Amino acid sequence: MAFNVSIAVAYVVLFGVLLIFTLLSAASANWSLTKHFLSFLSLSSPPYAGEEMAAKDPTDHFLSARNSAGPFAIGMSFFASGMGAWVRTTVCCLSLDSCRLVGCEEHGWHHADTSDVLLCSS
Amino acid sequence: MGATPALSWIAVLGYSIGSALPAILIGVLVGPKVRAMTGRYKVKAFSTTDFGRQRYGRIMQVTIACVSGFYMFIFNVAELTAISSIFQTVTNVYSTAFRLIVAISMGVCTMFYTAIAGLPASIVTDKCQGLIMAVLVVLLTLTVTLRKDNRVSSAEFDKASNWTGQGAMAAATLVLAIASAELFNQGTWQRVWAAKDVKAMRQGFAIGSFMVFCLMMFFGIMGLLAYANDPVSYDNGEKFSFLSFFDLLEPLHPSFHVLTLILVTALAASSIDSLQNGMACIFSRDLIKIGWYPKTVARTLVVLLNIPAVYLAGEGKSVLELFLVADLVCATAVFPVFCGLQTKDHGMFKAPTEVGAFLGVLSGIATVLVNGVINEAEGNVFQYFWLRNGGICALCGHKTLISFIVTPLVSLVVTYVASFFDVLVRGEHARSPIFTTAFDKDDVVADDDNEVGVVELTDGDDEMKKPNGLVQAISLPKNKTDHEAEAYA
Repeated sequence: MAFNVSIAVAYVVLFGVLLIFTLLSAASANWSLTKHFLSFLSLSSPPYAGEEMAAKDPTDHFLSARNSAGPFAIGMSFFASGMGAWVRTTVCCLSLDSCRLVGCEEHGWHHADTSDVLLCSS
Repeated sequence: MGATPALSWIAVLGYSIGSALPAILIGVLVGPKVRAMTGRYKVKAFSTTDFGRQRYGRIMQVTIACVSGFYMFIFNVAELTAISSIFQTVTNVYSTAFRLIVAISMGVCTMFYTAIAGLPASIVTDKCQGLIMAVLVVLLTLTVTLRKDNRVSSAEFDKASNWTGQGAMAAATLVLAIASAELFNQGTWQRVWAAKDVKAMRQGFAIGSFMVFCLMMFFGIMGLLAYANDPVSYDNGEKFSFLSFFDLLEPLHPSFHVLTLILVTALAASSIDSLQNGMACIFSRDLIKIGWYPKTVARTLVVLLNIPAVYLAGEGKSVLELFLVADLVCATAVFPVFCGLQTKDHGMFKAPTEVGAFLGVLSGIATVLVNGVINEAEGNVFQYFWLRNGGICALCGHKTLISFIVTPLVSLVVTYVASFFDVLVRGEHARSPIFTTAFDKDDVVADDDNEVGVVELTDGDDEMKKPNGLVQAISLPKNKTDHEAEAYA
């Protein structure tokens, strides 16, 4: 299998995506400065229940975001948090044993992860 | 599963339904009741460990914490391992150093931004991640299927498209295993308490369930397409079915490979940050009660749990079997824990007691061991948790299906039988926790004005008394502002 993504591009993707999410989180931690920005992105709808809850009990809000999320947020959150990188391979096939059937280990391949992604050991 | 013709459609459907079902179970059925039952205490609940403590006692709280913690830890390791493996595959760089860098970056970054803003950050980023994922999946669907190289005729597709008994067994196993396991995913349960109200919770989880189903079907169908495109290579082992989606991506322009990397990174980050928040919330309520700087302790706990996770991911060790162990361990405890939603005796079916529930969990574990002996599992008696029974895939075969049916059933029966005898022998003391800590005794219920008050169970509520000062707010008293209790009832 031949992919053409260079390692430099891979690092840019990795750190770029993580940076974006870090900035989003930092923004969400300070409602007074970013609520308009978040509203623009339709990421938070007024009145900002989160802001109200955060002011009322910051510790509880930090740990639970209690009573702050609408149906869209809950739906997207369940979708995003439940669907991980494992989806890319396991649904295509749970194939640990099918790999063993063709003697993968004899060719120096080792089983790498729960997603059954086998990597050729170099 | 899509790219394995012996499993094909039914297994893909089973996996999709199994992945979407927990949202319905948690968000629509069980979640509202758990939320209402735990919502009447001065210090609010954060996870089902708090439900376990309030409903049963400390022993079940610790049991739930162990099962949940184990499952979420394994899930976290799996995510870190998967993302680093995918980066290696796409870049063709298979060095351990690169693998470690990806795993450490993911772990550290997600730990950092969850430490900054906690669960609210996770929910906000999840919205963004979900949108990115939805857009990219649509884009990739169009691109992959419109590509001439990936087109197949109906005759070719028929080779991949099968409805098999093995697929049906795998489907049933997946539904049972995933549902059992996800009911212990505190990352999901946190959304129950984060929802504005019960209506938002039900609607939100229904939306999430539908989206999960669609995404899983998408990847499954991609597997079918990949196999149909080149069945000979898959049959003789030149290509591996678990890499079938990459097989379809390969002919595309490199920019689509980059888009796929973005998608996968978003997928992994969204799961990992939710798991980290989930792991941190297990003892949040007690930490708040004790006053042990809960945010700091939660952050420290997340860091401590991530270090071994990143290490294991960097090692590239096989965690599939541990994942299966986690599913089976969760299956031993799912009924004992959630039968706690029954708060009234129904004839011989007594409301489960702590002793009954704990014995139910132990019986589930014993069932797995006995199953191992019957199936002549290799190694010691605990080896059968690894489900090595010759199935064509890790969760395939009738023996695995039987394990996931029998184990929770036995735990269910033992929970009720043990609870019956517990009440028979110990009387009303059976309803009390086996032991309580000193600071449990001032656990009182807050009314809607946030004034502390003690709920007095109404006359006729003879199923649960107030032992040792610990209020068992099982029957929710009528309160004109208690909308949630009215709603779920």
